[in-house]
Amino acid sequence: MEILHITDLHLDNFTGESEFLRKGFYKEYIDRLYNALENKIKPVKIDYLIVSGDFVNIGKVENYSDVEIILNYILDKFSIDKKNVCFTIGNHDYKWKELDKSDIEKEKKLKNPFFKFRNKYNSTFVVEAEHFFLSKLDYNTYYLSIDSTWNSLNGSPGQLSVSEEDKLIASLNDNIENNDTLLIGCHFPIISFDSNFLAGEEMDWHNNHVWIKGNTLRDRIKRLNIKNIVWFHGDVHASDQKVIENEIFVLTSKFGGIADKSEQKRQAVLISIDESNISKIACKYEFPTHGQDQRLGDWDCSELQELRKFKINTTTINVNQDELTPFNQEVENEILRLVKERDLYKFGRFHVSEEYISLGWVDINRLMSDKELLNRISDKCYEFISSKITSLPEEYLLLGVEIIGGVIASQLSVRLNIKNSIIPVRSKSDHYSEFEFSHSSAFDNINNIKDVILFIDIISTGNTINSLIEEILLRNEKINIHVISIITNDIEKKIRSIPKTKSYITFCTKLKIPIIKHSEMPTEEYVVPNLKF
Amino acid sequence: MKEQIINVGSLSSLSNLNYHLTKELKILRESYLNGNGNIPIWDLTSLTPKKVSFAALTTFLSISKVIRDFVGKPIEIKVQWHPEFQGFLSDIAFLKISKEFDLYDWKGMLGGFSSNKTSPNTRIFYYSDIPTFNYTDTNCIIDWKDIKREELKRSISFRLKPIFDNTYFINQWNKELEAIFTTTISELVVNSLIHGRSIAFVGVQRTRKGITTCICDSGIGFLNSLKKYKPELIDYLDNSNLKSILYSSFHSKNKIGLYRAISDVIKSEGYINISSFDSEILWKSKNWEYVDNNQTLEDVLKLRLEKSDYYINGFVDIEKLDNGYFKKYDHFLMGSRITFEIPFSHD
Amino acid sequence: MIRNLYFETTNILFTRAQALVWVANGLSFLDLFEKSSGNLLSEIITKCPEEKTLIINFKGIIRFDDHCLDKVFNSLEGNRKQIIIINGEHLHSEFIKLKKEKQININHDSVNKLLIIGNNRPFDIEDLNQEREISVKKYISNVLKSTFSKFEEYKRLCSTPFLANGEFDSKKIIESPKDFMWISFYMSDKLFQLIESEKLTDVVLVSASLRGSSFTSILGILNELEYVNIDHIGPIHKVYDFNNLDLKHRNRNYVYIGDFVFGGTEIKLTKVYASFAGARLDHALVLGSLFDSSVFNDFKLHELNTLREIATDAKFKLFD
Repeated sequence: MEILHITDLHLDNFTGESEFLRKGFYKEYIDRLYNALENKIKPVKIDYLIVSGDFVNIGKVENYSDVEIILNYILDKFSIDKKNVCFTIGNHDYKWKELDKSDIEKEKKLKNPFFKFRNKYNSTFVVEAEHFFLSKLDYNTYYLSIDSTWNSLNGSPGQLSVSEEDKLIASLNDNIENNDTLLIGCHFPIISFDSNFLAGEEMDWHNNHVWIKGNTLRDRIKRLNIKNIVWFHGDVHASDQKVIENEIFVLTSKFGGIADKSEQKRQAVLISIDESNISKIACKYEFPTHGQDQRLGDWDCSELQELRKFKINTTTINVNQDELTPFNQEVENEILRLVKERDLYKFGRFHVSEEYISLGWVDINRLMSDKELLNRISDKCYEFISSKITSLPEEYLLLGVEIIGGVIASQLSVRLNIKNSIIPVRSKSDHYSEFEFSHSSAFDNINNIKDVILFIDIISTGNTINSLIEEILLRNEKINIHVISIITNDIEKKIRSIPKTKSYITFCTKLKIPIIKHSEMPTEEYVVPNLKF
Repeated sequence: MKEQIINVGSLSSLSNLNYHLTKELKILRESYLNGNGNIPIWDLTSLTPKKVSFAALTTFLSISKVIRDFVGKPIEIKVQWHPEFQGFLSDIAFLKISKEFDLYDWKGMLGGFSSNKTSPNTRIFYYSDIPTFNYTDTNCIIDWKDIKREELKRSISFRLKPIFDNTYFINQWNKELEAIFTTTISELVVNSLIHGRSIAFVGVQRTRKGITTCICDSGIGFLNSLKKYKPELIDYLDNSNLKSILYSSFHSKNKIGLYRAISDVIKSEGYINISSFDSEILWKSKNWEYVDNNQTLEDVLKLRLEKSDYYINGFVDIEKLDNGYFKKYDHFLMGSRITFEIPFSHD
Repeated sequence: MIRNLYFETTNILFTRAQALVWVANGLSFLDLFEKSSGNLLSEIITKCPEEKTLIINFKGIIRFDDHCLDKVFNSLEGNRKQIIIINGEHLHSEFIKLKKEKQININHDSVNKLLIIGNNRPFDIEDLNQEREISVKKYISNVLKSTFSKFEEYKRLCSTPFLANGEFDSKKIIESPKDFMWISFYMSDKLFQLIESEKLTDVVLVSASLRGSSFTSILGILNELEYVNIDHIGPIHKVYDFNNLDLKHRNRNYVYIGDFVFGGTEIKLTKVYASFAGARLDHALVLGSLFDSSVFNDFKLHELNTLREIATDAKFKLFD
């Protein structure tokens, strides 16, 4: 997506002689911008135009019809759809001097000309309120226009009440997803930039031009965990940007106004957003000499500069991912601490299956006899499972493998009101009752079960869990299987994902338990097994 | 843009950090207001590794986060190379948190240390799930607070577990102490999240004397929070951070809140120190009784703390003042910091 | 879900505060009654007909959280319903504090050690208690009975000289969320009585089977006792966790927790393993036993309910 950001057109006199956007020059001015951009990116393809306020100068609302002419020319030149213009109101866009006290009704009336002008381009919004409006630009991009002059008395930044902030946040909550991009037009900068060079030239500059009172709103928007938030600011006629985690603040200098001897350069900024990054091209109108005759200058565009790169959101639920992360870091730390301090790791020869020998053994039963650890793991499992439950408890089944799996499954089943069953896997000899694996009232209903959650203490080679999964799918191939393990062996061929499962989480990924084939070990007469199933 | 070296001092106490930071942060702030923001550099070369206060460390983390966000990138940090101290910072999770938030540019001075060599009696952690719902809906706030407290108690109890998993302290760490702790910390964290609207950093240290905890945020502070959410109080607060702390200490009488947290700590013969922006109150049993004897909140708000015997001027070490105090500074440090200690009873 | 949390008889509904805590918030703070638990309680109060009395056992609850009883007191508005709190005298002042300005009656009957909340109509606590106890006994009996599954023909019971026409399988209890919870509470009460009456100290719970471990772990949490699960002492005993016998359990009192006992072999084996660790095992608490406890000389057997009374379908004969 390509966005062209301009601001502070300050149209004072369309038919005058000194403005950049005057009747006699605006086309040439805009043409030159187009050409300069074309030198950098061919073809020039702009999806949206964001104008962050001060369309007219000092409340001259009668100039909106002229601004319309200029705007339409930009749209035509850059082939931008009329409905893709994003508006923001600035302090020059209404006659604030006629407000001598706080009067919301009068303020609304004074701002009417601006909104009438805006509505010629777009009058359909997802949410519209007095102090903001929200539009949907495409399937995952929204534009929020905030009136940072709301409830202001003297042309300086305004103030939203708590309920006004609430309304704005609620509308974002209702409409925007985590993977969306939110573009925000806000005339007054909501943060301090490093180079506000005008700051020294005016008394109380900061309070007059930086929307300090908007900071709680900014914070609340940030907490919504939206993938990208890009603020577009104007007002101060300076150029800067800041990137703070998932927030980008773009400050662009004025587009219009009259030529003067100050250092301010006219500016237009192109912001480019794609799947994995956000970049910027800054264009400024340069003069070759100290003279400020507009016809002597030209646009000069920078190279494409990357502002932010982002990764696709990863979750701790691992399905076919490269990295296996623990479901909760604190729990993993505690498991490792207890294994170390209580001497729960032994080295020896442990026959864990017909094919494999384990050279390490974690005393998982003793580990899990720590009640605080057991309860914390249960609580975390509860969180995980609750997020999976979308239908009736009767459609779920908790299966606990061996002692630890059984303990967790039985305790959780009370909380969730879901049936559970314990599965022994280590002894498949005759002395176990034939009612073990298959005869369980929980399994009687297997055809009506949609999701099974399997609890297992340690996943080492994955053989046990995979054969269990096969057994379950034999009985009902449509079941969704979720696996929760306390420890996953941190070997080279770590089990990062389990085939045929819907999700898989583990609590400890940092214990290495070396596994070796029987054929690679000396026979038992040389090295007696510590343990044999 | 010029560099500004911010010497954080020895980090030997919260007062000491306060003293060093407030001046420097004022200069930093003004540089931005004047249009040419300085580039801050943290100078930790004056710290004394064996005498670092965990409360100062926790507060420093909190302020680092705010400044880092403000500047928009990690801030250079100057340190002397003390591998043992760095190992300690690693063990208490200071390094993990600073890495998570990308707070510092160590300029190659971090490394060469071993972790898990100490059994630290200190832990630092944080909570960042600041609510995003409707702040005018008081029922919603109460519901959220109750659910959050339930969740936080369990989380805090589990996080404190390694500190108390030690035979010497098993006798000291009884259910009652755990209950006071987890309830108090969870209440204070909930306040930071919902009223300060900022990440709550928590530091806990166990010593032979007792357990000390510091909860700090760099949010909007007591006064701004009250102004925003209880505008009817504005006239009574006199724009005073000190009065705001006072009000906040008492307004939740008869229910769970800061009042109960303070009462529980004082009943256990501990102390609780609350500072926000330019004001600080150290609650101990004497000055707590002095204020608590007032019947209503209106009476409390009418108190002129500056005229009381407990009001002090200048910087004083906490240990010297057994009766508690009320204090105002010339400079301010944004956010709120609450430190409390509960001594172990020695029978 | 709420139906699992209480029992109803002719004149009463009864429940237990810790059951509400378990369901609302899990097992980490079983002595703390929080808002989520209070919300469940108010749902039960709503379901309780006005003419019946709701008895709530507050055993194990030491602390209240703020707002935890808001909805409870709302449900009691008008004092139309009657609640009796047992094992909750120590919480009297907390109830009063949390009631705040609501006009709900709270009375303390110090003779019978009860709190009466809401409607003050007269009642006979002995009758109500008897009704409750009969109901509990019946419930336990039915649950244990329901664990019996008949074989098609007589089969030998593992490691016993008996042929049986069926088997008691405690898996059926464990699998049911409601039954596992309530049987655990009743086992916990029984364990508490056992420890008191036998004056046991330094108790460690021990199990030696898959099913037993589910009960051992929950009892360890409910009764705040240490526990040990010995992996696979089976009829063919292969102890997988040979290191499980913790040497710091020297001189401790192991109490065996199990499901159903026939010959008692498993308990005897566990006793032997316990002695390797220097611990003593003199008591066993199980769901039920085929034989009378006097049959077992090596340990004292305690049962939740005797199988002999309830297992009328079960038939055993000597294997020859």
